[in-house]
Amino acid sequence: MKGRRSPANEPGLKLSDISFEGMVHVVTIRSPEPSGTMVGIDLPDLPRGYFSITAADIPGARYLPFGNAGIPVFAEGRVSYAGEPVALLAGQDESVLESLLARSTVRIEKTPWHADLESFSSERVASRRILERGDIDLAFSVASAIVEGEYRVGAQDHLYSEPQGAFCQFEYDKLLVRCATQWPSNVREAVSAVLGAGATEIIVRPTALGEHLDGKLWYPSLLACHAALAAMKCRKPALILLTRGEDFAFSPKRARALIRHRSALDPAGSLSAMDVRITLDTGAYAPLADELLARACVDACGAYDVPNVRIEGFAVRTNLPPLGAFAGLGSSQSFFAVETHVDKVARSLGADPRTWRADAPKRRIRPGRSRPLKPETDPFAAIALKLSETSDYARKYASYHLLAKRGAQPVEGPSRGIGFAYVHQGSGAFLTKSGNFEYRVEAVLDEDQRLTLRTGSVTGNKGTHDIWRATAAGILGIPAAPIVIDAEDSVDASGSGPSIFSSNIAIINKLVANACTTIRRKRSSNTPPHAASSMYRSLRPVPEPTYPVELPYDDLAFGGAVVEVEMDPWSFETRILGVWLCVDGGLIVSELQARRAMETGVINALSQSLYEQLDFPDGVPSTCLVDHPMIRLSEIPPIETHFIDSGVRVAAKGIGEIPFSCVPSALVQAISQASGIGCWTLPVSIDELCMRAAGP
Amino acid sequence: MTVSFILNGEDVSAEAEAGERLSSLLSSRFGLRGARGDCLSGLCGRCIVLLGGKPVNSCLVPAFRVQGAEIVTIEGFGRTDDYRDIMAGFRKAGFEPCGFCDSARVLVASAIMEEDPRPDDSLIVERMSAISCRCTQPSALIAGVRAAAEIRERRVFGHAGA
Amino acid sequence: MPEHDVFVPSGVVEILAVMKQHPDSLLVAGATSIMASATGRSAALSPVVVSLERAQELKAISRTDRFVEFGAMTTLSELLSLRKGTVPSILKERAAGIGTFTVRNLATLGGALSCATRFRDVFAPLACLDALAEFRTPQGSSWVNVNRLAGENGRPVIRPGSLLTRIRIPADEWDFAISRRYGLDGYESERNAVLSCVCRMNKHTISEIRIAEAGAELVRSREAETMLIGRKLPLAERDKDAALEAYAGRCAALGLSGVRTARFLGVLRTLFECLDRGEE
Repeated sequence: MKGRRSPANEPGLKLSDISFEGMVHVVTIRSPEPSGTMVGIDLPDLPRGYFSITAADIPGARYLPFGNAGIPVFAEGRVSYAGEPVALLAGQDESVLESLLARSTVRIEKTPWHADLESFSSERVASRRILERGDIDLAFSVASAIVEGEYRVGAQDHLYSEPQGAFCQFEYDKLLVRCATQWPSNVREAVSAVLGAGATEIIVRPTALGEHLDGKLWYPSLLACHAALAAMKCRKPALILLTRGEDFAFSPKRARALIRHRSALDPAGSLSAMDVRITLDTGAYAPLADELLARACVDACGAYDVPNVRIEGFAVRTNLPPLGAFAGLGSSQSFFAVETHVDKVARSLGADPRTWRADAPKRRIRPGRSRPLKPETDPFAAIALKLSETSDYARKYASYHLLAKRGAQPVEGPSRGIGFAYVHQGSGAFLTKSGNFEYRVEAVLDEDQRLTLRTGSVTGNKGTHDIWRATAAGILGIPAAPIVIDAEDSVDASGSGPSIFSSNIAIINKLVANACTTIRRKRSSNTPPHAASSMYRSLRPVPEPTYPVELPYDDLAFGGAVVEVEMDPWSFETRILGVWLCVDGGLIVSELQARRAMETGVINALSQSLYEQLDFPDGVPSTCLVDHPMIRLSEIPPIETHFIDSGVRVAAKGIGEIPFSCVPSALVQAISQASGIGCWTLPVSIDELCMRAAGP
Repeated sequence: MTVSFILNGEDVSAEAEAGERLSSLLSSRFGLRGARGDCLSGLCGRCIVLLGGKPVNSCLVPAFRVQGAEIVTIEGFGRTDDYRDIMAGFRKAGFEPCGFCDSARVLVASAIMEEDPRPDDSLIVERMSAISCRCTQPSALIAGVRAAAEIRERRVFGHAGA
Repeated sequence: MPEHDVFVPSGVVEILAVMKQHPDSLLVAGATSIMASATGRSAALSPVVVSLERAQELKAISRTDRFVEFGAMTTLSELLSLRKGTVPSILKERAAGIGTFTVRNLATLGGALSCATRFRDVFAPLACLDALAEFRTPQGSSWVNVNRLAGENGRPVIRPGSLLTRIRIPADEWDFAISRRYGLDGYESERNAVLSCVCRMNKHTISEIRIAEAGAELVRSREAETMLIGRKLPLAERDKDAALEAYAGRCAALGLSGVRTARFLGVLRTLFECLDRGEE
């Protein structure tokens, strides 16, 4: 392969840049209904040079290995969501394809479709999990008070930098696949299975990822299979690139969640029991349902150590597009629920929620592997202190609470509220057996002291590369800028894990450090070039079914957020006045990069919490892009990020998901305080607040 | 219809549907892919080009409106001193966009500096709000435009303002 | 590839001549609405398209002691670039909320008044200010109060076969003028609307008041406005309640959704509080 570059073989290329004479474009014929039996596909007469591709053209596997029964490459017989691919059209001219697509119809005998999380039949359960500790029934029977709450998290679109797509081209006896993917080895395995070809026949070279919010985990594999089938049938290079509208309507979204909390309090106002029921909507085919549910259940009680716990979790298949990863898998939904719930608990006791949180016993951190903290250290105490100092939380909370209590009148002007939330981020690999991956880094230092790092792990931003460079440079005492980072072709990266859960920092950066430390040792005794490699293999799955008192992640970072809002008392128009974020992320290799990652994360979390409502009333989104806004630069509040060191700074940890897991709850709590209306849903619906204020 | 216009300083013509988007025309007929917008509704702002010197969303401009007009894309703007000033300013401030909104950020930065050689934060924020992207880094972006304006002023006038 | 006849007239007379010859022609101003509502690589256009881009008369801006007048092809950016005091601030604020500045470089004031599906954000302030719109046809011209661009059902009324040429805004002085948008800036959605109000006072008594709310429909209530005239500020709670009830009745008559009505009445309450405090 190497040494022979086609126009589509350049490193750093964007998928939307691929265009050259002779290649074909590919468009998708989709199911118009969310559920039903496919009766037939009616295609117009195809001009010469134009092809249709259906399931009958698949030489190998017809399913990708996700979910319990796999995800079909094309729907056959049954359709399970509106927009599900049933066939492809391929040809050179995009406008001709647009016209052919408009004249193609899929005949479906409709069957009832399901998207209900309140009640569901057992055959819709894709994964179930029960975690227990202590005697919950006894704890509730002697409780001084019981607090209940129901929290909902909506589906959301990633709105990543570039719509999803893939390009395939045969070069000699190999198939070159290019796509923006977080998981190149998965693309390779999927394409080889679907084509019935050996894995070594497939070369995957990732294109520029941009900001992806974990939306490019497995779906690029499906599109790569589509492009590969088209390339095979047309005998030409083939590009499938979804339109933004198509991507918005039919690609995977964040899993919806309905989480019910029931908590028992002892006479001192501490949590004596938590009974949590989690229902996750994992959409059609429920990809990654096990992992999503495992994380949601493990983090259901958040930071809090509760003696009696029962967590029952369900991942449910529905007739919405496949739902799943979104800036992590499952944990952020649980953190939203538990942090919003403990706010409710504290208020029910008349306590300041921050003080209540600070006093509550915290879950332990697994010693040894996680971090070398002293057992009595509570990372959240330092976080709470820093956030209180910088945001003036205590004074503001008391003042807004007082105003609300004495019934401030709208005539006094806008009302204000402030919210607070804790979070931890478990980084590393998957918790379940679906994730037995390995990650590897190879480092070579040549005679001119030039270092090359090779990894199969991909990253969406240049900042991560800078962090790897800084780590290597620090260990080897060489300048960072000239260090070359070379992405492996996936031909050598079999079984490599995805870039998720901040693995690029939590795992890859450690491997960089290990490899460079080995080179440093070798340098004194051997002659150059010096080579070393370092590998991580996940140690899963987590033992079940007991509730893990010690958090079961490889590594943990901690954080907290304060959000302050101002709200028009009548129209409920909300302005975010400020966000304060505090992160204990171990060794911060590049404070500049970390600060930026947190700032961008906070902005996206605010946007998703207050703006990006996405409903599926008929199995397809109710809004189109035109009325699906993101936060604008002019609406972004001042954001303060503080990094603290609560222990010994030994290694860099994944912190990328922290804003997504704590900012939404803090925002919702602030809105509840400002409006005087309990707000339990994400994203916040100002319309709903208006309606609830207006009464029946 | 045949549309004739000035593209990056050169007289060009192309066959196009009257209602075809300028963004489509630029990429499919002229291979200019710097205008990366894909929302097709003026929301993302990533397809911004200069039309008669003013930044506009090329997805909202029908081909017939381009007849006789002057269009500058990032590929053309990339040959100017202003482009180098802006890139130097972005680098100085450590502003690193995601690679998909860069060209729009640069063209809007040029419009800001055209409007006010010493732009304040509120002007930068208002104008840069034309671009919606998940990669937004407000502090670095604002610092980047201000740095670019200083570099440009130094180049043009031999000194930077106070 | 569909063929279109595209006319690019250089003046109003020429435009009217094309319209007479091609009664079904599509007049295109900034084209932003047409392009934003299309989904593919091209927007579907009528076989005959008239681009208003080159008609300089439609870009003229003039000002007298009694009014300021805009050609319909004035872009929103041009309107916003006028110096302070030229354009009523409530109109400027709302024009600044339409799209982004790159969209406003294309979008025109005439286009904003010609949208068939909803009232754009500048409409409510123009309705409050009793702005006039000039329409020309091959047969003649007429000035129409913009409030009459809403039908009985409150929805926009399109005047086929006529060309919107000028918008004239009276240069009246107001003691209180406010315009609030609810929903999200820069986006057009069913959930978004603008509430505008202008008011004249005499010794803390309302001598004239106009309130207009415009989104998918225009809501005005002469009954409520009349009710408020002669009331002293701060308004008594019963006067506010009576006015709100009149507006609620108007919303019900127009068949507005519960959410829209709730938000409108909420913002109206805020407006009354602002009026009491004299805060714009």
